[in-house]
Amino acid sequence: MSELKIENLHVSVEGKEILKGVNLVIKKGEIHALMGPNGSGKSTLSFALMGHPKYEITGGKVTLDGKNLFEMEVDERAKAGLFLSFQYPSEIPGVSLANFLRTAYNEVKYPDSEKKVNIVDFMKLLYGKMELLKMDKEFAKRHLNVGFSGGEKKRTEILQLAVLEPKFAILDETDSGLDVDALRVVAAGVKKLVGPHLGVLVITHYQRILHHIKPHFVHILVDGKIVKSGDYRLAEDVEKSGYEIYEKEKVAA
Amino acid sequence: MKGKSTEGKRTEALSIFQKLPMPSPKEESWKYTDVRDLNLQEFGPAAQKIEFPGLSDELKEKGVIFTDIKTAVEKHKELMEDHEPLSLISPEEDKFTAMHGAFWNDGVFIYVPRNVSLKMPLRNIFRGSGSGGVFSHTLIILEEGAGIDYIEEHYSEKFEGVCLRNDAVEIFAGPNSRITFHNFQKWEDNVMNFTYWKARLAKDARVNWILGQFGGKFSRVKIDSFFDGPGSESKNLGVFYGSGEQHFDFTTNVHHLVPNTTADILMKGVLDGKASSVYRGKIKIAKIAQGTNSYLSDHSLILSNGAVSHSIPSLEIDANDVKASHGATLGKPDEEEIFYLMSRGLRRKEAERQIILGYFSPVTDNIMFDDLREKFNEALHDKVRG
Ligand SMILES: Nc1ncnc2c1ncn2[C@@H]1O[C@H](COP(=O)(O)OP(=O)(O)OP(=O)(O)O)[C@@H](O)[C@H]1O
Ligand SMILES: [Mg+2]
Repeated sequence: MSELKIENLHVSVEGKEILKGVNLVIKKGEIHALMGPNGSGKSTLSFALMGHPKYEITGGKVTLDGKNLFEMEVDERAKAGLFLSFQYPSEIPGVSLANFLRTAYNEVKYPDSEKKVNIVDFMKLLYGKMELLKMDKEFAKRHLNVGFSGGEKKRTEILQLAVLEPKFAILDETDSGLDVDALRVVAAGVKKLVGPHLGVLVITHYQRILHHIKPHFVHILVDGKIVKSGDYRLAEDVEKSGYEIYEKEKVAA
Repeated sequence: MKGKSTEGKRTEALSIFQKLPMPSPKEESWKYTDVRDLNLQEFGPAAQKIEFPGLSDELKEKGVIFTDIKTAVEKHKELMEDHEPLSLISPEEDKFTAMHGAFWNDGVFIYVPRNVSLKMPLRNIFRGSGSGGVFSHTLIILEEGAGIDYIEEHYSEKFEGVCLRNDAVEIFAGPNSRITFHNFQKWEDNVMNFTYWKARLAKDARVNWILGQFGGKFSRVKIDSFFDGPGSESKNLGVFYGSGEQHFDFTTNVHHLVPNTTADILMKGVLDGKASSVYRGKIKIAKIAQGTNSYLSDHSLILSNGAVSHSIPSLEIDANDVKASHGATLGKPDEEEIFYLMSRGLRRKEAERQIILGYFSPVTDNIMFDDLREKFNEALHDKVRG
């Protein structure tokens, strides 16, 4: 069974410990939600998993289908099937979305060969996915994220997810910035992708997206540790009463 | 030098060449390019081939001439009148220009008659094939309302020793004429290049220079554009990519001599390894040249700790009702951008390549010919390490 397994993960940024022993197992086909106050370390977790050079792993282990993630370069993690939808995606001037995604597609699908997807076939695939996400075809020509609105950037992240078909995806606040209709479209898109092939970690502050996506598990991250895990109802509790009780629990512990 | 015979000019250039000392790094325009160790006596004539595609019958009938310069000097004297070789560029300019004036021995002549506008570009491929000196002279005369795109591609074969190129380009752009001059060079590291380009623009003329410099051990290109007629415009758009120990030395001077002329200059360089570059950009606006628009911007992307780049802008503005600006940037590729691209499966080199491709695009997007744009992109592709 395909799984992403995080064991006792410790991560520091610029000498300061942010993650203080995170444990989490995501299996193929599962949707997990991760909630927690600002600054609790949610994005740190996603960057550390993807391999951002600023995030130093000071302890613990993460495996993807049994392979040690920390022995891989960033691109190798992508090729192994990990995907991160960024909270704040970079803008890359002069590089069109279509050309870039085709390059990425070739790297991910045919990592060790000269084989390349035919341009016409790729455009068909891309336009198909764009339709699924109700994106205007014009976006294919535009420079990657340059001048995109907040919501357009998020939708483009999910488009990349749909094209690259990873095994595990982390969606870091993909919902923030999306309007009501966009949220429904993106959530429906994600739901279509989950199932037998994809496991997802949805990082969010709001129940709204969870309402659409219906996670199997909800985890609460406070001060670098998962302090509580539960089912969907946990998200409803958070919405009602905030994180205060968990922060207290942590202090007491 | 008007009125003198071609041979007379040659003799005069030779005596100037012999008289002038080698440029010294004490001179401002040679500060970052030290040529004192170069022994110019060593560069006897070297072999090069210039590929000339034929001209269609239609264009011949219209009076377009596209031929080698030696033939032109013999056969088309009447077209040259005040425009014979070296009537724009003076051998007094510096030692290398004088050397060119004394030794130029091949090159290109283009003449486009009144109101003839070419859809397809004229193109020459220059192939250096041995060590020594190469002195090519390109002369382009555009009559009123004429329009062309010209492409020169430069390559060198692999050979022992060094080829010193010392070329000159002169463009006479008549009223309301239009030319885009494209230069693309991908020499082996056996070439040292000194090139001087100069254009005079009559009323409403447009002269655009697009350059892509990738190869050579060393390459110096100096471009002077003189706005003689109101309403004339020029763009200088350049990309260069230095690696290993390559050195580039570029100068663009725009001379706004009359009212209402426009210059737009954009230079974008990448430097890797121990490569170095210097860029000098001068905007000169005469007192009567009111309504001038002149913009200069140069950028360097530095990929390694050993690479250096110098930018020396200067603005000499004597008119008061003008718009002129200068902007320069110097930096490394953004690590967040690289991380973002790598997170999508691109190897680090590929991520850098994409970023540079994007960085060059404000220049390369102006190339209207797909095959040429592709050559720029391929040259860049080959230069990114690994
Ligand atoms: N690159 C960085 N440089 C300095 N500090 C950082 C960096 N990244 C994270 N931190 C710090 O680590 C802590 C956790 O940040 P992180 O972005 O992981 O929080 P988060 O849970 O994602 O918050 P939010 O809900 O606001 O997105 C914060 O105190 C933050 O300031
Ligand atoms: Mg965050």
